[in-house]
Amino acid sequence: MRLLPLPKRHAISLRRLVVFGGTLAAILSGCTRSDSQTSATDIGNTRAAVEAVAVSPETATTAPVAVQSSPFGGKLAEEVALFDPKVDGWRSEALYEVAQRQLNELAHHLEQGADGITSAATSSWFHVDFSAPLLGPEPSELVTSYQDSLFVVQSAPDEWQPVAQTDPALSLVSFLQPLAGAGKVRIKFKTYRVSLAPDGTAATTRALVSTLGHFSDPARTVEQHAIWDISWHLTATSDAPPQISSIVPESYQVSRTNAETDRLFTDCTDAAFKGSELYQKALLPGLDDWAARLHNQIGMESEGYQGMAMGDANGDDLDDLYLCQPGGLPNLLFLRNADGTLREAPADNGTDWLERTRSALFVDLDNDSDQDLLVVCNTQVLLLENDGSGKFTKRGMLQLPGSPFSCTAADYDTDGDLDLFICDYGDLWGGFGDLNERFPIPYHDANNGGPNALFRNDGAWQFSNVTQESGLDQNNRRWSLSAAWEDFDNDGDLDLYVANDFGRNNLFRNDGGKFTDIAEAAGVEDISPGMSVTWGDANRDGWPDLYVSNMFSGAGNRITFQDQFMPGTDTATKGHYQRFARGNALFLNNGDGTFLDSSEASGVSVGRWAWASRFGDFNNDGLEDIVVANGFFTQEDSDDL
Amino acid sequence: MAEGKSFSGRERNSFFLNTGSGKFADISGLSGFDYLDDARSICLGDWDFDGALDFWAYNRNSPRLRLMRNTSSSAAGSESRHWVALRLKGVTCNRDAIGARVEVTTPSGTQFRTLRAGEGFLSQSSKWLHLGLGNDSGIEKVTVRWPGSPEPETFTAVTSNTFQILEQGTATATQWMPPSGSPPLDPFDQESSPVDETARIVLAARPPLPPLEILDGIANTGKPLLINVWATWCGPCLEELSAMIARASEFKQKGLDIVLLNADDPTDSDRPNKVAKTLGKLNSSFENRIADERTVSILDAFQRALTQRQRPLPLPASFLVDSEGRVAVIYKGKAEVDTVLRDLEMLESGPDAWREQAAPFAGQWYQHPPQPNPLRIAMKFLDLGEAKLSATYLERFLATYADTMEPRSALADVYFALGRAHSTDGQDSAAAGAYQSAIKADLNYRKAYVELGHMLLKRNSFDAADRLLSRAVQLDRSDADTVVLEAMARLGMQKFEDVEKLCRFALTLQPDHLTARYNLAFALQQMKRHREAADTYAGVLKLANGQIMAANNLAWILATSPDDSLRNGREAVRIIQQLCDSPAGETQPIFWMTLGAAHAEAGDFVNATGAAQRALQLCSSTGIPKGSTLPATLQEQLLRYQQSKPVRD
Repeated sequence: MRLLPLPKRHAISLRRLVVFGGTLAAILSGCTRSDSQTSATDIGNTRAAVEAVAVSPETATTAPVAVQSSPFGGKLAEEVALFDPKVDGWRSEALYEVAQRQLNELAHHLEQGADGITSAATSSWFHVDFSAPLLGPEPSELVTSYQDSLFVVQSAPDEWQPVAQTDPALSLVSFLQPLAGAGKVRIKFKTYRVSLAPDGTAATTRALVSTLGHFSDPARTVEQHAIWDISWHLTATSDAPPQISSIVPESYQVSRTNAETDRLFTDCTDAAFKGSELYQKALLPGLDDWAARLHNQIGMESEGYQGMAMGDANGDDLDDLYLCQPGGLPNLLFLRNADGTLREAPADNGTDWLERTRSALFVDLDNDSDQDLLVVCNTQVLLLENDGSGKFTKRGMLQLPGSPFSCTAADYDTDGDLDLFICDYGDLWGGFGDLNERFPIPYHDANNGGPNALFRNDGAWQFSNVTQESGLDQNNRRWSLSAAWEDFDNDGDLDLYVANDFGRNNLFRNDGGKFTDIAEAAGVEDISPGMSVTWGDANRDGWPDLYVSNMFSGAGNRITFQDQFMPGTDTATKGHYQRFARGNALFLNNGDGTFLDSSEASGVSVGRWAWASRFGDFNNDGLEDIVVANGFFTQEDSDDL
Repeated sequence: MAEGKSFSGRERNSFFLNTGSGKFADISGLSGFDYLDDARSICLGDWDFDGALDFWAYNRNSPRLRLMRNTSSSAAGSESRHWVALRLKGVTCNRDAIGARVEVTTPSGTQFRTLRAGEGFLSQSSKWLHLGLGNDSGIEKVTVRWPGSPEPETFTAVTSNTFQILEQGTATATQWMPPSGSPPLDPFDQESSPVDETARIVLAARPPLPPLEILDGIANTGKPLLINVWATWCGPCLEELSAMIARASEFKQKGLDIVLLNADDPTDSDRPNKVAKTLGKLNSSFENRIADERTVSILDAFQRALTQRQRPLPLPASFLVDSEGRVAVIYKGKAEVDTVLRDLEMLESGPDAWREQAAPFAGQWYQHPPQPNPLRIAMKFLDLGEAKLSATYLERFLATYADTMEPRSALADVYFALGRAHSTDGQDSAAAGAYQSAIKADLNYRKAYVELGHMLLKRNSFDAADRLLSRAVQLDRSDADTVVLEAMARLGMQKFEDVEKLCRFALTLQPDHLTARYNLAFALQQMKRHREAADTYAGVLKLANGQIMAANNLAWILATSPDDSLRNGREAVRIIQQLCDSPAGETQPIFWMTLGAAHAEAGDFVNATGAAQRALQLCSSTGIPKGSTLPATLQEQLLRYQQSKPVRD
């Protein structure tokens, strides 16, 4: 690989330049979001114009005149409110800000160790009339829900009735007891519900409380998760921060490593790459860094909508790794060495595409027993034939109208070769030039995304788009990110679940190569920002269950449960928005064509802003666990929603 | 986010342990995968063949990649846990056997796995199927249902804690031996890579340099030019300058002009003196110009438009401009003389060779190099309040590229942006001309029809507006805003039935479209369908109770409708009184007029008279459109109130 020298690090920022406001789209787009605002505020003028041409005095009198400071509450106003809690009317968000700040400070204080947890040292966070039970159950009260050689998981019993008392220090000490003696402690509160008394004198917030303690000698880790309803005493007149007046624990769970180990997984990337220069230069820097130094017109973007594929590229029976990259950075193929380390594939292997790519699959498309490669690029899918040794040649290109994201392969017509289903998200960004930005409409149930496509393999690298004749064109303008095949009804053919952003998902039942969307009847529409889907048997009953990645959003939960969120909107629509922020979904297969939504009951909904998730049995106990990749956009500031 | 803001960032990856009781336990911390990464993709596979499932995670931020190695095989007690890994080989079905389902039966029951290619987010995992067997070491039965085969095939000789290959039709598993002697992969916490603010940004498609008065006589001379932004207080600037001055003859020989733009504090009265002294000391022969605040702002906006993650223009910074006045490279931080000379030599290479320079690593492209695109730059200038500059920039761009731009919609984009720039600059007729050019470039360019239609609507040219807007609706019937604009044109044409039809259609597209609902109510009111109008206004208020005109009109109907069962003077007073009491409403004669009618309907002619008189006062004090019939109407109403008669619509 050729590396170009970068200038030495000697930049000094010019004294503060103007900070520009406004978004590109809002400035230039005449008919996207800003238009509803434009036309709304212009009504007055147009009405005045109508008045001017009005014939009868009656018309004139009822015709509105221009009101300059018209408080039109359009969509934009609502969106602004979502992003600026200080906007009048969102007192609950203003309360959240100060309460969360108090909790952050308290967490920081508690992390310093038990010595500081006295009534005096914590008095600034707690009101004098404080009451709360002991927040950590006695060991004898705990119910063990899981135990093996690796982990012990214990919870408070369902009928747990903790002892009430009035000393905050006692409450906290009981909760932090399992962390006593830990070398490194982490405590975090995440507030996701706020309810404010109408007169503004009292408030209750609900928080996820997470703690982690690492012990050395012997190595072990303790992790606690609790949900607390926290009542706040507010002072109406002064600027003093709110104080906690009571805490009611809603749930409690503690888990520990059981063996002499402090974690199940360790990061061995560095050893796998053995100090490779390419790894250092290409895989250590984040995309923000590249996006600041590469021209945006070559497809460079930093959102990280790039995935990877594992498969045997060079025919040595060992899985290799192929990484997709945004435009301007080449896709990377690393071959596995016998010892588990990686080497760069030879330079002329034909996989180092520099266009913006999204995802890739290693699959044998021509049934010659080697792994061909398909790469989802800008608006195409490249089909690359493997010569058997890991050298790839372009054999075809499938064209998609919008912005294809992912591909999932299966032989849907059981003719012996692999067909391809491609999720086309839709062109949210309008390619280059923000004039063409499009928005999901309506936001909670958008049906203006790109059309997904099923390509039938006709042999000899010929593929036909059979979306329509297969029936997959139903309900097919969703903003689809991911799909996965599974015979959910155990009838011998493969059905297809499609996870869609901004709204409902699809479950296409396969009846002899013809598909019907039965998501609603099956109870798996999951109206949410669907990011991805995976199948597994969560309860080992022999029927495939579904796990869908969505977004658990603290802000979304807090806001959508307020009365003033979308006033006047019907409760069903509001429910959709609330559901939007709920998080990941686990649907248990009832075996009769329907599913049971077990997301919250199973404790798997809080997967944050989730992307990939996967079932896998990571401790060989015969039960499939779930791993979730999450987090949207972490940058230098800490001002997260 | 382009400016460096987080959004749902610093979230820890999650791991849920299946406890077998219908519940999962959040053991993200115990798993060790609880990094704060913006993780995206996950691929599973037993990478080190130790019988425990590992995975790779791919991130947006630094470090991009993590191999999460499962340590459980070396934990005490792991010998009591069993597993099997299976790989399928299709013979009559697809060779990868994608879609096949394997069932494994042990004393404690049967488990299955289905082989998939592509699931999760942009991820493909290993084709090895990994099954944990708990405490069961014996495998009783293994069956595979191959895609397209109705009968499952049973495999014998599958032993636990091994890797087995199951080939279709053979009925016997073959053990696969992983490579032996693998050294352990040692754990090491990867450090986030430090952010490097310096950069050499090669512009794959070169945008024209913005017109800057300060460069008069220097830019656009047909020779390449290096613009160096520097300040006397900036150490690295001076180091860079010394290096360039030392090799000034090489630049000259290669035909490169160099101009320095000094960016010292403009409020410093000693600035010219400092600059002269510094340049004298350095023995500089380069042309130097004193940059004003605006020039620096424009250059900053220009460079921000060229990268997705935008960072401020640092000092020093340089712009390499080619002989045709297009910017080819931006150097942030010190530009090395050798690098500049090498880039200078490459300037005349073709677009393909030049694009290679824009990528930091080698690789292949399957598409042609991009054409320059001025849109983001023009938008940045608009953001900066430089509408005229934005328009000039686009016009210059068009002068060079209009004939060659492909596709035509891209050309239309540029004309459309020009229209926006002119319109922001207050040049309405120039804007209209640009929108017309956009339509000429692309007859289906919907947004231009909308903008032109909107402009005509504001000028009361309702018929002309209607023609354009109906074409826009034809081009995309899914955009509620355009439909409502057309409805407003029809409103101006007094075609109330059309307004009703269009607004109702818009509401099917977007039920919460306020303007559609308001216009619908208004049209119904004009058609004297008072009850429907009142209901619709009430609907508007339900969506947004701050909709004051809807409130006014609703109160007017309640006060004046000929329909006895609809009129409700007290309710009308209640509604309109709030408006008259509000800061925005207390000076509006129309609200006071409505209040008068409401009081009259409620039988309170004293207050009705008072309100009408206040309305008349406001007409003269606040000014109303010329030729308005409002004062005359109010006089009529006053007469009626004196006779204790309410107003009827």
